[in-house]
Amino acid sequence: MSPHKNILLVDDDADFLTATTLVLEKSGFTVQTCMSAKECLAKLKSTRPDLIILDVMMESDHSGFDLCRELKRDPDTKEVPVLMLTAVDQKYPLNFASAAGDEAWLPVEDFIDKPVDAHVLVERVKKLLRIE
Amino acid sequence: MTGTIKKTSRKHARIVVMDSDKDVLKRLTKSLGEEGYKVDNVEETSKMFEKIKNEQVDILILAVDSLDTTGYELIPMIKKMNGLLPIIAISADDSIQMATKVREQGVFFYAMKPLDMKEMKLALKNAFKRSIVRQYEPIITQKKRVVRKDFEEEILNLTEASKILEVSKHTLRKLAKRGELPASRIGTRWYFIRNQLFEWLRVTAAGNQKNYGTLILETMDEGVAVVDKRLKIVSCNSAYLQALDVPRDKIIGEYCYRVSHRSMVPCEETTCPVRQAFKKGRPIKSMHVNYDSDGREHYCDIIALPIKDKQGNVSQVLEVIRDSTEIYDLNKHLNWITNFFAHESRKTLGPIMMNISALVDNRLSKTIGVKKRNEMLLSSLCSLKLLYDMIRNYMISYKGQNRTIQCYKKAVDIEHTIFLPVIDELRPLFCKKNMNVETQIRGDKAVYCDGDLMKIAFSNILNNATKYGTEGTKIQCVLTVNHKGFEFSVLNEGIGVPRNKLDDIFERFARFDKLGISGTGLGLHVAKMIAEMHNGTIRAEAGFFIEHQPVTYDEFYVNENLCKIKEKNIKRFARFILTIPSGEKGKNSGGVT
Repeated sequence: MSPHKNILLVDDDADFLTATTLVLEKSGFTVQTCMSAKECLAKLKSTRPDLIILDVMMESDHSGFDLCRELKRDPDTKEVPVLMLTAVDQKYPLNFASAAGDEAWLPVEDFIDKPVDAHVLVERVKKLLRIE
Repeated sequence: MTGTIKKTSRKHARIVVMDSDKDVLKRLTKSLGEEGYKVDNVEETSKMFEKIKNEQVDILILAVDSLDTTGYELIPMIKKMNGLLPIIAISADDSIQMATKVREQGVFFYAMKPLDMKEMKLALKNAFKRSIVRQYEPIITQKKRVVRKDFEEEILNLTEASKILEVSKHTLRKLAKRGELPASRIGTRWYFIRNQLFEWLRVTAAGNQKNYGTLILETMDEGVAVVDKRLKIVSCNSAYLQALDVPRDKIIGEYCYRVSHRSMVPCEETTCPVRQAFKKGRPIKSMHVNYDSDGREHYCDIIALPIKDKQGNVSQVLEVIRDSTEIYDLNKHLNWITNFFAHESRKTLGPIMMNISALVDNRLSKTIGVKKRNEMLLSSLCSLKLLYDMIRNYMISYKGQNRTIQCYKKAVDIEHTIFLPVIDELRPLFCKKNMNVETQIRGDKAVYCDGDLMKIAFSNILNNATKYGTEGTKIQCVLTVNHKGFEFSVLNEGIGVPRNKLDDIFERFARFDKLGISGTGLGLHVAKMIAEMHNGTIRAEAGFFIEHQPVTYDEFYVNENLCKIKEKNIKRFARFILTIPSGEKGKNSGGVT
């Protein structure tokens, strides 16, 4: 089992949050969830997660891109790795920059296409958190 | 003017005589030849038609008794070929019936055999005069009267004709004088009929590639222009003029960028397909967005094709403009739909995949208890239902748009074949959100409607209430059925509907940002479509719960006491009411508006 690592899961799909939280918790992580960018920014003031899993196509106030840009700009959260979830078929990080409409796009640490297998997600999370 | 014709008539009038009687032919040829007419004899119908079609014939003398079949039957066919050709009918049959039949077909003169040559000569003279006048009548009247726009296009002077044919005025005049080209002279000027010119071009094109090219340009639907190295337009077709809405004389010799972009400077070499085609010597395609006078966007495909000289250098570029706005719009919509469905399906599949893959994962599944396992399966089932509904709703709305959906009405027991089965089907959804469905049923008459479609409408309305309802609350359904039809209302506590969106919510793909809820914006739209197919209605009501009673926005805001309550602190509700009149037996309707 992994040492206690905190993951912040941001997605506006309640069903996905429930399923993913369960999978991550059963894999030994502590999971906090939020359903909007606003909620996420508020939560980050009090907690410092080891990893942020972020959905790119949130329909509420901010898109995942905007939120991610904000996180990477903020010196407090800059170092926290971000795993981006997408429901758009993107294979290369370069395309990502243009999809975000930002030349100076700071790439995220990793990204996964939705839908995703439970064990694939756990593997990727472990890799990012450097857990054997 | 008549004088000119008189002077030349004896020399040029060409007469075709069609008669099987050789004696008559001989006499006519001799006698008319003396008068200066050029006479061609034919004995067969096919030859006569050939001559009328391919040669300049001024008058036809037709023996209506010369054939086995009655000769006058040929007259309408001749008139179809050349409506202006005067026909002099001759016959040995002096019956009144024959005369009537021939005159009915409309001939210039009807003469009896044996022919009175004096009479014939007079008839020929007048026929020829009329032939000439008729042929050039449009020109004469047009030049005399105020210029009419449609005529302007038809009649060309020497300068205009030389531009179209791309030959010098001198050559054109020479050709016209020699009679090699259809033209007419009024005073000292030459006039040409546009259609005749193109017809002539078509016939003589084989040996003259340049003119052939002009003709091809003219027959194309796309706007086409030839641009030279200085970027000046050398030639263009009518479609090009139409596309840019400019007259021909303002285009030829003008810089292409001034005409097409209304710009005073040439476009960048890298973006201009014409300049690229000059530079690279191969066809270049690009897309331009033009704006018409109404400010609408027009997507134009521009194809620049290089024209090379013998040395292989690009001497000119053919610029083809194709308005592809319709295709672009369709494509844009198709793209949008595809992306929308790809995204929605992936999103819906997300939790299903996560749950099922966790359940089959050896290590993970060991840690999941029975209760959790059931929850995960239920959640997956609900997501699958969502996916299925999305596909079904899209198909119905698509069919509705194309008017290919049929509505088969028959007597339906709304309560037992629609209402209760739908609630059963949706039970997993209610269960997942821990929602309770309260039903109230009044009356039990059968209603004429399409049961399958109505089931979908019920399902969509209830689904909507579950999706946007608060967890652990109840959904109140009331079904009232009587001989006039039925009313089905569904009320749920939840995020409600914004006051200004009560009508918009039925629009196709209408979605409002709602946290944690995914919707495709199709369910209610389809419900409305089905209601309209049954001449029924669906409407939305929304407002607040005051002491457990629903109070609509309208009732709420007019009540001073209620207005004092902070909106944030009150629970909201949404209610959808479907009203369907009972259809008539045997009356089915297809399509929706």
